[in-house]
Amino acid sequence: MEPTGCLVSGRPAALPTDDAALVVQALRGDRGAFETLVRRHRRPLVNHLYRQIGQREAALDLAQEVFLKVYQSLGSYDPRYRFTTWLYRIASNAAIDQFRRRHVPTCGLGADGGDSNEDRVLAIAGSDPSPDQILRARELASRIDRAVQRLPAEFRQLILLRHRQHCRYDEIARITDLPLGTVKNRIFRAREILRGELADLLEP
Amino acid sequence: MSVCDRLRVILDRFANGEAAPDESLVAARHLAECTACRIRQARARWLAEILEREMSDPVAVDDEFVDRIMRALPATPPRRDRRAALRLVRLGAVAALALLPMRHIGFLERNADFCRQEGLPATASSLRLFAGAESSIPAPAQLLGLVVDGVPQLARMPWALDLLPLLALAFGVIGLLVVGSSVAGFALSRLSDA
Repeated sequence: MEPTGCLVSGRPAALPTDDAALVVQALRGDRGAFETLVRRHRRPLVNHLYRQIGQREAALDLAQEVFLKVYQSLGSYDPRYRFTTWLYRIASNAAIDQFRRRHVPTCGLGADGGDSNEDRVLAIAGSDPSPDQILRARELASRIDRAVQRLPAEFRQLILLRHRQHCRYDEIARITDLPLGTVKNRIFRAREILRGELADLLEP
Repeated sequence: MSVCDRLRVILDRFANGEAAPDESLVAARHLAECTACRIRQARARWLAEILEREMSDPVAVDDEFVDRIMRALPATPPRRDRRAALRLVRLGAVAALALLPMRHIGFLERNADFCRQEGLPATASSLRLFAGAESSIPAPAQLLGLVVDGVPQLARMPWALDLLPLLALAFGVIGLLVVGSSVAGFALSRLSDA
Protein backbone atom coordinates (compact mmCIF):
# COMPACT_ATOMS: atom_id res chain seq x y z
CA MET A 1 0.00 0.00 0.00
CA GLU A 2 1.20 3.48 -0.81
CA PRO A 3 2.17 5.78 2.03
CA THR A 4 -0.36 8.37 3.01
CA GLY A 5 1.74 11.38 2.12
CA CYS A 6 4.87 13.48 2.52
CA LEU A 7 6.77 13.13 5.74
CA VAL A 8 6.47 15.39 8.70
CA SER A 9 9.63 15.41 10.81
CA GLY A 10 10.94 12.24 9.21
CA ARG A 11 7.90 10.12 10.07
CA PRO A 12 4.64 9.59 8.17
CA ALA A 13 2.21 12.34 9.17
CA ALA A 14 0.00 11.09 12.00
CA LEU A 15 -2.20 14.19 12.02
CA PRO A 16 -2.19 15.65 8.53
CA THR A 17 -4.33 18.60 9.58
CA ASP A 18 -1.80 19.82 12.14
CA ASP A 19 0.21 21.84 9.66
CA ALA A 20 -2.92 23.39 8.20
CA ALA A 21 -4.05 24.39 11.69
CA LEU A 22 -0.66 26.00 12.34
CA VAL A 23 -0.95 27.92 9.07
CA VAL A 24 -4.32 29.32 10.20
CA GLN A 25 -2.80 30.36 13.53
CA ALA A 26 0.17 31.97 11.76
CA LEU A 27 -2.23 33.91 9.53
CA ARG A 28 -3.83 35.26 12.69
CA GLY A 29 -0.44 36.64 13.69
CA ASP A 30 0.78 33.80 15.89
CA ARG A 31 4.51 33.76 15.11
CA GLY A 32 4.99 30.80 17.46
CA ALA A 33 2.82 28.68 15.15
CA PHE A 34 5.08 29.50 12.22
CA GLU A 35 8.14 28.75 14.34
CA THR A 36 6.68 25.30 15.04
CA LEU A 37 6.29 24.74 11.31
CA VAL A 38 9.90 25.76 10.71
CA ARG A 39 11.19 23.49 13.50
CA ARG A 40 9.13 20.59 12.20
CA HIS A 41 10.26 20.81 8.59
CA ARG A 42 13.75 22.36 8.79
CA ARG A 43 15.82 19.20 8.80
CA PRO A 44 14.10 17.28 5.97
CA LEU A 45 13.91 20.44 3.86
CA VAL A 46 17.54 21.48 4.36
CA ASN A 47 18.75 17.98 3.57
CA HIS A 48 16.50 17.73 0.55
CA LEU A 49 17.94 20.99 -0.78
CA TYR A 50 21.45 19.89 0.13
CA ARG A 51 21.02 16.82 -2.05
CA GLN A 52 19.82 19.04 -4.89
CA ILE A 53 22.60 21.60 -4.58
CA GLY A 54 25.47 19.68 -3.02
CA GLN A 55 26.63 22.61 -0.85
CA ARG A 56 25.82 22.79 2.85
CA GLU A 57 25.86 26.57 3.30
CA ALA A 58 23.97 27.19 0.06
CA ALA A 59 21.32 24.66 1.15
CA LEU A 60 20.93 26.37 4.53
CA ASP A 61 20.64 29.80 2.90
CA LEU A 62 18.16 28.53 0.34
CA ALA A 63 16.06 26.80 3.02
CA GLN A 64 15.94 30.08 4.93
CA GLU A 65 14.82 31.85 1.75
CA VAL A 66 12.17 29.16 1.21
CA PHE A 67 10.76 29.54 4.73
CA LEU A 68 10.56 33.32 4.30
CA LYS A 69 8.74 32.87 0.98
CA VAL A 70 6.42 30.41 2.65
CA TYR A 71 5.63 32.94 5.38
CA GLN A 72 4.97 35.72 2.90
CA SER A 73 2.63 33.57 0.84
CA LEU A 74 0.96 31.66 3.69
CA GLY A 75 -2.32 33.30 2.68
CA SER A 76 -2.31 31.44 -0.62
CA TYR A 77 -1.83 28.00 0.97
CA ASP A 78 -4.67 25.71 -0.09
CA PRO A 79 -5.53 23.39 2.83
CA ARG A 80 -6.94 20.80 0.43
CA TYR A 81 -3.34 19.78 -0.16
CA ARG A 82 -0.71 18.77 2.36
CA PHE A 83 1.46 21.57 3.67
CA THR A 84 4.56 19.56 2.74
CA THR A 85 3.44 19.36 -0.90
CA TRP A 86 3.19 23.14 -0.99
CA LEU A 87 6.45 23.61 0.93
CA TYR A 88 8.42 21.30 -1.37
CA ARG A 89 6.90 22.90 -4.44
CA ILE A 90 8.17 26.29 -3.30
CA ALA A 91 11.52 24.69 -2.44
CA SER A 92 11.70 23.00 -5.84
CA ASN A 93 11.08 26.31 -7.63
CA ALA A 94 13.61 28.07 -5.40
CA ALA A 95 16.23 25.41 -6.18
CA ILE A 96 15.61 25.82 -9.92
CA ASP A 97 15.95 29.62 -9.58
CA GLN A 98 19.16 29.11 -7.62
CA PHE A 99 20.60 26.95 -10.38
CA ARG A 100 19.66 29.56 -12.98
CA ARG A 101 21.12 32.44 -10.96
CA ARG A 102 24.38 30.94 -9.81
CA HIS A 103 24.96 27.76 -11.82
CA VAL A 104 25.67 25.96 -8.57
CA PRO A 105 28.10 23.12 -9.15
CA THR A 106 26.97 19.81 -7.71
CA CYS A 107 29.34 17.56 -5.86
CA GLY A 108 29.36 14.28 -4.00
CA LEU A 109 27.94 14.04 -0.53
CA GLY A 110 30.71 11.88 0.87
CA ALA A 111 33.61 13.01 3.04
CA ASP A 112 34.55 15.63 0.45
CA GLY A 113 31.10 17.20 0.70
CA GLY A 114 32.24 19.47 3.52
CA ASP A 115 30.35 17.80 6.36
CA SER A 116 31.96 16.25 9.34
CA ASN A 117 31.22 12.70 10.35
CA GLU A 118 29.66 14.08 13.52
CA ASP A 119 26.88 15.55 11.38
CA ARG A 120 25.90 12.17 10.04
CA VAL A 121 22.98 10.44 11.61
CA LEU A 122 23.26 6.71 11.37
CA ALA A 123 20.41 4.33 11.76
CA ILE A 124 22.01 1.45 13.60
CA ALA A 125 19.97 -1.26 15.19
CA GLY A 126 20.56 -1.78 18.89
CA SER A 127 21.56 0.70 21.54
CA ASP A 128 25.27 -0.07 21.68
CA PRO A 129 26.73 -0.75 18.25
CA SER A 130 30.26 -2.05 17.92
CA PRO A 131 32.91 0.07 16.15
CA ASP A 132 32.74 -2.38 13.26
CA GLN A 133 28.98 -1.93 12.95
CA ILE A 134 29.38 1.85 13.07
CA LEU A 135 32.00 1.76 10.34
CA ARG A 136 29.90 -0.50 8.12
CA ALA A 137 26.82 1.62 8.61
CA ARG A 138 28.79 4.73 7.67
CA GLU A 139 30.14 3.06 4.58
CA LEU A 140 26.65 1.91 3.59
CA ALA A 141 25.15 5.37 4.10
CA SER A 142 27.99 6.91 2.16
CA ARG A 143 27.58 4.45 -0.74
CA ILE A 144 23.87 5.14 -0.95
CA ASP A 145 24.40 8.90 -0.75
CA ARG A 146 26.92 8.76 -3.57
CA ALA A 147 24.71 6.55 -5.74
CA VAL A 148 21.76 8.90 -5.26
CA GLN A 149 23.96 11.92 -5.91
CA ARG A 150 25.17 10.43 -9.18
CA LEU A 151 21.61 10.14 -10.47
CA PRO A 152 20.64 12.69 -13.12
CA ALA A 153 19.19 15.75 -11.35
CA GLU A 154 15.68 15.19 -12.75
CA PHE A 155 15.68 11.64 -11.33
CA ARG A 156 17.36 12.50 -8.02
CA GLN A 157 14.71 14.94 -6.86
CA LEU A 158 11.94 12.45 -7.60
CA ILE A 159 13.59 9.51 -5.86
CA LEU A 160 14.27 11.67 -2.77
CA LEU A 161 10.70 12.94 -2.64
CA ARG A 162 9.41 9.37 -2.96
CA HIS A 163 11.75 7.50 -0.66
CA ARG A 164 12.95 10.17 1.80
CA GLN A 165 9.90 12.40 2.11
CA HIS A 166 7.41 9.59 1.42
CA CYS A 167 5.41 11.75 -0.99
CA ARG A 168 2.77 10.07 -3.11
CA TYR A 169 3.14 10.10 -6.89
CA ASP A 170 0.40 12.71 -7.29
CA GLU A 171 2.07 14.92 -4.68
CA ILE A 172 5.42 14.60 -6.47
CA ALA A 173 3.74 15.53 -9.75
CA ARG A 174 2.32 18.61 -8.07
CA ILE A 175 5.62 19.58 -6.45
CA THR A 176 7.65 19.19 -9.62
CA ASP A 177 4.96 20.30 -12.06
CA LEU A 178 5.47 17.13 -14.10
CA PRO A 179 2.81 14.83 -15.57
CA LEU A 180 1.98 11.86 -13.34
CA GLY A 181 3.11 9.38 -16.01
CA THR A 182 6.50 11.09 -16.28
CA VAL A 183 6.92 10.93 -12.50
CA LYS A 184 6.16 7.20 -12.42
CA ASN A 185 8.42 6.50 -15.36
CA ARG A 186 11.34 8.51 -13.99
CA ILE A 187 11.09 6.96 -10.54
CA PHE A 188 11.10 3.50 -12.10
CA ARG A 189 14.16 4.37 -14.19
CA ALA A 190 15.92 5.94 -11.20
CA ARG A 191 15.37 2.74 -9.20
CA GLU A 192 16.77 0.70 -12.06
CA ILE A 193 19.90 2.88 -12.08
CA LEU A 194 20.26 2.62 -8.29
CA ARG A 195 19.82 -1.16 -8.39
CA GLY A 196 22.63 -1.27 -10.94
CA GLU A 197 24.87 1.05 -8.89
CA LEU A 198 24.30 -0.81 -5.64
CA ALA A 199 24.16 -4.30 -7.14
CA ASP A 200 26.89 -5.65 -4.86
CA LEU A 201 25.02 -4.42 -1.76
CA LEU A 202 21.76 -5.83 -2.98
CA GLU A 203 23.00 -9.40 -3.23
CA PRO A 204 20.65 -11.34 -0.97
CA MET B 1 9.79 -9.35 -25.28
CA SER B 2 9.45 -11.90 -22.46
CA VAL B 3 6.71 -11.90 -19.84
CA CYS B 4 9.27 -10.83 -17.24
CA ASP B 5 10.28 -7.79 -19.32
CA ARG B 6 6.68 -6.81 -19.91
CA LEU B 7 5.94 -6.99 -16.19
CA ARG B 8 9.06 -5.14 -15.02
CA VAL B 9 7.26 -1.89 -14.23
CA ILE B 10 4.39 -3.64 -12.46
CA LEU B 11 6.80 -5.81 -10.47
CA ASP B 12 8.75 -2.73 -9.42
CA ARG B 13 5.57 -1.03 -8.23
CA PHE B 14 4.52 -4.25 -6.46
CA ALA B 15 7.87 -4.45 -4.64
CA ASN B 16 7.46 -0.87 -3.46
CA GLY B 17 3.88 -1.33 -2.32
CA GLU B 18 2.52 0.96 -5.04
CA ALA B 19 0.71 -1.52 -7.29
CA ALA B 20 -3.02 -1.30 -7.90
CA PRO B 21 -5.05 -4.36 -6.82
CA ASP B 22 -5.26 -5.78 -10.35
CA GLU B 23 -1.53 -5.20 -10.87
CA SER B 24 -0.79 -6.91 -7.54
CA LEU B 25 -2.74 -9.94 -8.68
CA VAL B 26 -0.80 -10.15 -11.95
CA ALA B 27 2.52 -9.67 -10.12
CA ALA B 28 1.75 -12.26 -7.44
CA ARG B 29 0.73 -14.84 -10.08
CA HIS B 30 3.90 -14.26 -12.05
CA LEU B 31 6.16 -14.31 -8.99
CA ALA B 32 4.72 -17.66 -7.95
CA GLU B 33 6.16 -19.24 -11.06
CA CYS B 34 9.30 -17.17 -11.85
CA THR B 35 12.43 -17.55 -9.72
CA ALA B 36 14.39 -14.83 -11.56
CA CYS B 37 11.68 -12.27 -10.85
CA ARG B 38 11.48 -13.34 -7.20
CA ILE B 39 15.19 -12.54 -6.88
CA ARG B 40 14.70 -9.17 -8.61
CA GLN B 41 11.75 -8.56 -6.32
CA ALA B 42 13.87 -9.17 -3.24
CA ARG B 43 16.48 -6.70 -4.55
CA ALA B 44 13.85 -4.08 -5.28
CA ARG B 45 12.47 -4.39 -1.74
CA TRP B 46 15.94 -4.18 -0.29
CA LEU B 47 16.69 -1.03 -2.26
CA ALA B 48 13.53 0.62 -0.96
CA GLU B 49 14.46 -0.40 2.59
CA ILE B 50 18.01 0.86 2.51
CA LEU B 51 16.97 4.12 0.84
CA GLU B 52 14.58 4.78 3.70
CA ARG B 53 16.53 3.29 6.57
CA GLU B 54 20.21 3.71 5.86
CA MET B 55 20.42 7.00 4.03
CA SER B 56 21.62 9.72 6.32
CA ASP B 57 20.44 13.28 6.76
CA PRO B 58 23.94 14.71 6.49
CA VAL B 59 23.24 18.32 7.42
CA ALA B 60 22.43 19.08 11.02
CA VAL B 61 20.17 22.11 11.44
CA ASP B 62 20.59 23.95 14.73
CA ASP B 63 18.31 26.37 16.57
CA GLU B 64 20.26 29.33 15.23
CA PHE B 65 18.77 28.53 11.81
CA VAL B 66 15.27 28.89 13.24
CA ASP B 67 16.20 32.07 15.13
CA ARG B 68 17.60 33.66 11.96
CA ILE B 69 14.33 32.97 10.12
CA MET B 70 12.20 34.26 12.96
CA ARG B 71 14.27 37.46 13.16
CA ALA B 72 13.93 37.98 9.40
CA LEU B 73 10.12 37.67 9.36
CA PRO B 74 8.21 40.87 8.63
CA ALA B 75 6.53 42.43 11.66
CA THR B 76 3.04 42.24 10.17
CA PRO B 77 1.34 38.84 9.76
CA PRO B 78 0.92 37.52 6.20
CA ARG B 79 -2.27 38.56 4.47
CA ARG B 80 -4.94 36.11 3.44
CA ASP B 81 -5.17 35.52 -0.27
CA ARG B 82 -8.63 36.72 -1.32
CA ARG B 83 -8.23 36.13 -5.03
CA ALA B 84 -10.20 32.88 -4.94
CA ALA B 85 -13.05 34.54 -3.03
CA LEU B 86 -13.05 37.45 -5.51
CA ARG B 87 -13.28 35.01 -8.41
CA LEU B 88 -16.27 33.38 -6.74
CA VAL B 89 -17.94 36.75 -6.24
CA ARG B 90 -17.41 37.65 -9.90
CA LEU B 91 -18.77 34.29 -11.04
CA GLY B 92 -21.74 34.63 -8.72
CA ALA B 93 -22.47 38.15 -9.95
CA VAL B 94 -22.43 37.02 -13.58
CA ALA B 95 -24.69 34.11 -12.74
CA ALA B 96 -27.09 36.37 -10.87
CA LEU B 97 -27.22 38.74 -13.85
CA ALA B 98 -28.50 35.82 -15.90
CA LEU B 99 -31.72 36.08 -13.91
CA LEU B 100 -32.55 39.58 -15.09
CA PRO B 101 -33.54 38.94 -18.74
CA MET B 102 -35.54 35.89 -17.70
CA ARG B 103 -37.91 38.08 -15.72
CA HIS B 104 -39.07 39.68 -18.97
CA ILE B 105 -39.63 36.76 -21.29
CA GLY B 106 -42.41 35.12 -19.37
CA PHE B 107 -40.92 31.69 -18.97
CA LEU B 108 -40.66 32.02 -15.20
CA GLU B 109 -44.41 32.31 -14.86
CA ARG B 110 -45.02 29.46 -17.31
CA ASN B 111 -42.70 27.25 -15.32
CA ALA B 112 -44.31 28.38 -12.09
CA ASP B 113 -47.69 27.28 -13.43
CA PHE B 114 -46.25 23.95 -14.48
CA CYS B 115 -44.62 23.39 -11.08
CA ARG B 116 -47.86 24.22 -9.29
CA GLN B 117 -49.72 21.69 -11.44
CA GLU B 118 -47.03 19.10 -10.72
CA GLY B 119 -47.43 19.57 -6.97
CA LEU B 120 -44.31 21.63 -6.30
CA PRO B 121 -45.77 24.70 -4.59
CA ALA B 122 -42.48 25.85 -3.03
CA THR B 123 -40.74 25.91 -6.40
CA ALA B 124 -43.74 27.56 -8.04
CA SER B 125 -43.81 30.23 -5.35
CA SER B 126 -40.07 30.94 -5.70
CA LEU B 127 -40.38 31.20 -9.47
CA ARG B 128 -43.24 33.65 -9.11
CA LEU B 129 -41.15 35.73 -6.70
CA PHE B 130 -38.40 35.97 -9.29
CA ALA B 131 -40.93 36.76 -11.99
CA GLY B 132 -42.13 39.67 -9.90
CA ALA B 133 -45.59 38.22 -9.57
CA GLU B 134 -45.28 38.27 -5.80
CA SER B 135 -44.12 41.31 -3.94
CA SER B 136 -42.26 39.84 -0.95
CA ILE B 137 -38.50 39.27 -0.96
CA PRO B 138 -37.49 35.59 -1.30
CA ALA B 139 -36.00 34.14 1.86
CA PRO B 140 -32.70 32.19 1.61
CA ALA B 141 -34.55 29.02 2.58
CA GLN B 142 -36.90 29.53 -0.36
CA LEU B 143 -34.00 30.01 -2.74
CA LEU B 144 -32.38 26.86 -1.50
CA GLY B 145 -35.71 25.09 -1.72
CA LEU B 146 -35.98 26.14 -5.35
CA VAL B 147 -32.65 24.53 -6.19
CA VAL B 148 -33.16 21.36 -4.16
CA ASP B 149 -36.77 20.93 -5.14
CA GLY B 150 -36.79 22.24 -8.68
CA VAL B 151 -33.59 21.10 -10.34
CA PRO B 152 -34.35 17.35 -10.08
CA GLN B 153 -37.61 18.09 -11.91
CA LEU B 154 -35.81 19.36 -15.01
CA ALA B 155 -36.09 16.01 -16.74
CA ARG B 156 -39.87 16.11 -16.31
CA MET B 157 -40.33 19.50 -17.96
CA PRO B 158 -42.49 19.04 -21.07
CA TRP B 159 -41.21 21.96 -23.14
CA ALA B 160 -37.59 21.65 -24.18
CA LEU B 161 -37.09 25.37 -24.74
CA ASP B 162 -37.63 26.10 -21.08
CA LEU B 163 -35.14 23.57 -19.79
CA LEU B 164 -32.14 25.72 -20.48
CA PRO B 165 -33.56 28.90 -18.91
CA LEU B 166 -34.59 26.92 -15.84
CA LEU B 167 -31.06 25.56 -15.57
CA ALA B 168 -29.80 29.14 -15.88
CA LEU B 169 -32.25 30.11 -13.18
CA ALA B 170 -30.88 27.45 -10.86
CA PHE B 171 -27.36 28.61 -11.72
CA GLY B 172 -28.41 32.17 -10.98
CA VAL B 173 -29.87 31.21 -7.62
CA ILE B 174 -26.71 29.36 -6.69
CA GLY B 175 -24.81 32.45 -7.86
CA LEU B 176 -26.83 34.66 -5.54
CA LEU B 177 -26.12 32.30 -2.66
CA VAL B 178 -22.40 32.32 -3.50
CA VAL B 179 -22.32 36.11 -3.65
CA GLY B 180 -24.13 36.32 -0.34
CA SER B 181 -21.86 33.84 1.41
CA SER B 182 -18.72 35.38 -0.11
CA VAL B 183 -19.71 38.85 1.00
CA ALA B 184 -20.44 37.50 4.46
CA GLY B 185 -17.09 35.67 4.46
CA PHE B 186 -15.32 38.88 3.46
CA ALA B 187 -17.02 40.81 6.18
CA LEU B 188 -16.14 38.17 8.77
CA SER B 189 -12.48 38.00 7.66
CA ARG B 190 -12.22 41.81 7.78
CA LEU B 191 -13.72 41.76 11.24
CA SER B 192 -11.32 39.03 12.41
CA ASP B 193 -8.38 40.96 10.86
CA ALA B 194 -9.48 44.08 12.67
